Amino acid sequence: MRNKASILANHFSTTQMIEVPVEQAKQITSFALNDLLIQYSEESFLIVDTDLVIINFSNNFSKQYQQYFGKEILKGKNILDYAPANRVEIAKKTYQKALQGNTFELEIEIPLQNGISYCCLNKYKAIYDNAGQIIGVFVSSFNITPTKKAQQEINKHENRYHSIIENSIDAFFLSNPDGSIIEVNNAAMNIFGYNPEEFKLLKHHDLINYNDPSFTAHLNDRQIPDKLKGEAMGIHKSGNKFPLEFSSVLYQDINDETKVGTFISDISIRKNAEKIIELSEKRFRALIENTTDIILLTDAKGMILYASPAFSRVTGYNLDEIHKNPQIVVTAIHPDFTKDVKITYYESLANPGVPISRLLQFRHKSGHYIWLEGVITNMLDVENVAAIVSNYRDISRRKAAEAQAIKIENRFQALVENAEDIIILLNADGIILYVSPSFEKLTGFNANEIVGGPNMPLMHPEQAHETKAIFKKLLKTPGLAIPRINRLKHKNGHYIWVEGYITNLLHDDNVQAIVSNYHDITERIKAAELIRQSEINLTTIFENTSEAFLLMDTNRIVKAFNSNAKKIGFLNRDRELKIGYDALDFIDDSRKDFVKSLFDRALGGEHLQYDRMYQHDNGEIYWVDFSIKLVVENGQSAGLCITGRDITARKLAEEELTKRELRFRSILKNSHDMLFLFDAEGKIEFLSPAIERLFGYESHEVEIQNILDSIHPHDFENVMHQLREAFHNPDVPVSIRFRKQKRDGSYVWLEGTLTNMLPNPDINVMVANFRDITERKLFEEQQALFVSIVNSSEDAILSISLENIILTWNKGAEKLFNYTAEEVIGQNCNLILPQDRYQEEIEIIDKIKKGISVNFYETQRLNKNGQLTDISLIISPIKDSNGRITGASKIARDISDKKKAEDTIKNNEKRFRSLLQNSNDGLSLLTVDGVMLEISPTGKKITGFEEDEMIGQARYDLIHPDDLEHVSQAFIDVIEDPEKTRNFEYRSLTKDGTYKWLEACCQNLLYEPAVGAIVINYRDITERKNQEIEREQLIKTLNQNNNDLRNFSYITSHNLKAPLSNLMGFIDLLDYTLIEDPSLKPIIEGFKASTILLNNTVNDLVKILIIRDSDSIEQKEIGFNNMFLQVKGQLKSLIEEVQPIIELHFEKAPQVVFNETYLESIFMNLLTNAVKYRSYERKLKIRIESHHTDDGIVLTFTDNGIGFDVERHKSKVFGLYQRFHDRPNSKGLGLYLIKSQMESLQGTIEVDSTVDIGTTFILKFAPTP
Amino acid sequence: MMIKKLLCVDDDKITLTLIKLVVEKASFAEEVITKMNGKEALDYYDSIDGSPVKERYPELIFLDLNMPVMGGWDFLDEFAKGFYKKFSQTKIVILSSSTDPEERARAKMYPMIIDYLTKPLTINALRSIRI
Repeated sequence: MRNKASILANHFSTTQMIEVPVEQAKQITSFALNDLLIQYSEESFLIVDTDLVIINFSNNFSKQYQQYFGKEILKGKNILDYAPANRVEIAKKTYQKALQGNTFELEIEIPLQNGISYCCLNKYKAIYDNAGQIIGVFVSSFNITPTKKAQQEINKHENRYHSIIENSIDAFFLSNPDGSIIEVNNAAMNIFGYNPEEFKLLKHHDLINYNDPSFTAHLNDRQIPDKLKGEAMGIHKSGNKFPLEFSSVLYQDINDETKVGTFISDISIRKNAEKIIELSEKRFRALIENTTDIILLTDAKGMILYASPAFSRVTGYNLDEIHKNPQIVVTAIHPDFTKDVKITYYESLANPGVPISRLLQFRHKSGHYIWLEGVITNMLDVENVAAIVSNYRDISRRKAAEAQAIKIENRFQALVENAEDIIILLNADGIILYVSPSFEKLTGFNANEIVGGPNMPLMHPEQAHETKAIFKKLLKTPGLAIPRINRLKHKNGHYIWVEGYITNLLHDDNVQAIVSNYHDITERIKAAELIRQSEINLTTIFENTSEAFLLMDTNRIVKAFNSNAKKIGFLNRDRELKIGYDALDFIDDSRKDFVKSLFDRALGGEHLQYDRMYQHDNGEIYWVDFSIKLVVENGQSAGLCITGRDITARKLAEEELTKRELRFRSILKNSHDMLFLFDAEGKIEFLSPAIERLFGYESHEVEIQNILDSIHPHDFENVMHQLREAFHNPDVPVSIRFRKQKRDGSYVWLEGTLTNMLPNPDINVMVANFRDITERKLFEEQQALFVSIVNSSEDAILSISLENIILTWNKGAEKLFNYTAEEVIGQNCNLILPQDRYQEEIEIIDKIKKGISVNFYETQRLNKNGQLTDISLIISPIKDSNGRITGASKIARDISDKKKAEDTIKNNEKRFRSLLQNSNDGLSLLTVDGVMLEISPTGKKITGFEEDEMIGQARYDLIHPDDLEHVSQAFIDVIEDPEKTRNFEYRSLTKDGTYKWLEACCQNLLYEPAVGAIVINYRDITERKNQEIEREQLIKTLNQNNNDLRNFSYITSHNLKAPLSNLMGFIDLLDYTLIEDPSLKPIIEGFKASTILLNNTVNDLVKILIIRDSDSIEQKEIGFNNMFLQVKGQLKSLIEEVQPIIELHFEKAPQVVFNETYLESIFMNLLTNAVKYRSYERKLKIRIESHHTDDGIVLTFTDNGIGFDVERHKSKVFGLYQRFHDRPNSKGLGLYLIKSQMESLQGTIEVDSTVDIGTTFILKFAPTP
Repeated sequence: MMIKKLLCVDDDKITLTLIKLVVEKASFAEEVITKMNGKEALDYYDSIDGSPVKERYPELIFLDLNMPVMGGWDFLDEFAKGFYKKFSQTKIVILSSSTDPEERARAKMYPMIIDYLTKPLTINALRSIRI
């Protein structure tokens, strides 16, 4: 466009330059233009007249025409003669238009013979004469052929690229440097989901995650300022993110504006696929790198191809050393095992696929040997492995150095960098039409070298082979795009992997080619291939190893496991292992918590190893050795790797060993033999349990450290001697006997042998085997002791057979009986027996035969001189070892002197006895069992029994059954506490069958050597007791009678009262009833009077009973004055009638604590009495006063009434129904009531009276408590 | 004033007869109901409970204290509580042969007791009752 514009500008400027002034135009009208001017004009123009005859033209015009059309322009010729035949009409019309006065431009393209066109831009303008008449046409022509050609070329290219872009599978963006999007292709819409309008509102950062670290890395790392390529995360309209590959270029467009072109490919599918393989590889790698087992791959010659990292960990050799010198492994095998290793190796070669167990010792780099247990499997025939695979595990269980976190080499991570997209255009025959510049960069081939040539030779033969089919398919369907991975040949002969699409755009006019669009993926393919290969290798190894593996992530989700994991029964054999589940789902509920704690510990970095027992369904037990280890990837915990190995065989062997060991231990434990194992210095290495038992030690390590410890000082020299002897004579048992101190300080005799087994490398100890002979030793010693005791005894000690033959005879016997041992041994023992005691001896022998001993039997025997000697004999049976009685031992002591002493005591005793016999108290001595030993004469007198009826017997029957319990208790009390003396009374049965009351005192003198009995003193208290009982009985009877009487009167009065009140009621009713028969009136009156009298009597009785009955009578503080006035008020009519003079003096004691009702009744009775027994000859005068005394309040009530003879009536004055006067309404109850009421509250009443003077009552109230 | 209904509770039939005669003589009540002990009296109240005719409730009770099965005091305690409260308008006169002042004092504790009479019941005594 720019070109076109400039052309026009030139044209107009030229036109302006030649514009002719009006005066000159006149000359032009006559066409008399200056030829010279025309000739020198640089412009190309032509002038025709109205008949279209060429008048003039510029040199340039002529030249151009000559150049393009090959003809010379001539003046005077018609212009139409120069037009191509097919354009004559158009030309004619064009000129006519101009001749009509129009000025206009016209772009003309005239095809030429050689296929190219002549292009010009003509301006037509009418020429006027002075009269304003059109006289011709001025045509200025500008040749735009080159410009047009260039333009066409550009358009053609642009269209082609546009088409490529539009048909591309990759997204294309044209945007401003600020990221705002100007244009996008269809693929962009597909990939990002926006329509073109929406795109125009977006910027780059809406589509690419600028926060993605890898993207920012690309930004920072870019080498060329205007170019950027790499991988990033795309953002779909939906918000989903996806991986993409992009390349972006900054360029100046034709308007010199900066634009950004960006290509983006969605690589999520590829990425996912890569990721899956990579993950799988990583897992297996993690498994193999993390397993504690060594995995070795060797070739058929035994050369190491691969050694797992565990090899270094376990053996100390690093892998480089092994690779440099594979011979190390062979030489490190212990010589003892080289043969076995060879045999198993050949066995393995002969049995492909069969795991063969191996056990060997391997020299660690540091020099010591470690035990390796493993399995070797020939997998030479297995594709992807092609090796002999050995698994080893360090079973020496030495604490290996802490496992170092393995940094996983990220050598597979590298991806192809800086590979720019390449574009190849081919025609249908596969001839290269075009290659983009990046092609050369990638392949080394220059475009010139290959354009026009076939594409096949530029590919790997395999890919070239595929290409045919792809082409065939492409050609069938115009527009088809086929994704492809291709291998392109580099100029220097190697191949480059590329990935992209081939698209058939042959039908597209602008492209007309098959377009290949590739990225270089060589590195990626290589890497992927490596990973794939590695994964296949590892998978194969894992599936073929005898180990079980399981990998889980940090959330315990099972990520991978091999078939052995299932077989061994990882986690839980009842549920089938599955990837993607929580590992705990495969654990028994009962073990879940435990296993979870294990996982947590392992996740915390702890390396766990443990053995676990399982049971097959068939009941067989198997053991699995588990290892749980944290998997570290890129320095972060990635999960756990669990490995397990069936170690049943080893475990069973161990168990067998343990069993045997236990058996050995048990035998040792239960053995009575004592085994000491000690080293050359005497330091104890082992003690059998019997030793601990014997010596009472709990922890022998602490308490016996050396064989020489706590040996009896007397035996030390001897023991040292024997030890030396043993040292000098290896393997020869040396007898030894010594004492060793027990924990409690006592010594034990040990007898046994010492054997020097130090030179024996398997044993390398001194062995001492002992037996406890303490008892035997003791027995021996005792025997010796007995002999010496018997011989040194003053007592005569002899033994006899059951046939009474003397067997032994000691010195004491010789002395006592004057016979020497020689004289009597073998003789019959009757030798020393007086004739009158034969029977006695027979009885003794009988007892002995029954196993009964005879103790301190006092008797007499004859000595050699025929004299009788008093002896005390102890005779015991002699038993043989089977317990059979074979004879008797006799110990005889001369007691002649004792006998004499006894006589003296007997005399003393008589004296005391006589004293006792004269006592008034009875005395009895009893054994602890109550058997009477002695009774005093007074005792006999009291009970009436004779000695023979009492002595030697426990006469509990004499105690009254009712007293037996407390008598026994007293007896028990004194036995339990000898300090106590108990007094008690009891009834004792006397000979005449009656009981006597005895007062007894019981004393325990059992421990008093002179008495040795329970002593009871007692005296006869029968008379006193009977009196007491009589009195008690009397009181009891009186109480009973009293109660009965009260009950009787109570019941009587109550039972009387009810019918009586009814009678009273009916009598009352009679008053309201008309009685017609006059004779009834006296009867009814009599009936009425009797009933009222009866009623009054009963009421009186009840009153008394109420007083007597009241156990607790309510008392309170009562004012005398108020109470008296109240009573006076009640007797108002009486008082008014008599008009007594009443003096009240309650000032000194105004109140009293008493029962209110009683006080009221007392005042009532006193007042009515005073009125009743007043003197008719004088006015009644009453004086009442109260005062305090030490014994309480006293109330005196004095009147000047008729009085009575106190002396005469004193005893009756307060009696019931006692009357001394014949006054009306006097019935002798009032004073009785007062007395009862006062006494019921611990008060008293007294009376003083003088006939015809007056009476004074003194009431004493009980003091307030 | 003559009351409509009188309930007499006493274990002695003669006493009850006497009361009836006195009441009749004094024209004290239109109807006399007799019960032999406190339990019977309560049963009687159970039987008339819910009766729509208020007039049928006794206006006054003559109550003896010493009775078998249930004595006067127990009857009073039962009567003072439970549903018998609804008969709280009922007035009670103790009619006892006891002259014990403590019993008199005790009778004062019951608000429904308006008088304490000592047997026998006389026309004068009856007339002294202030209902």
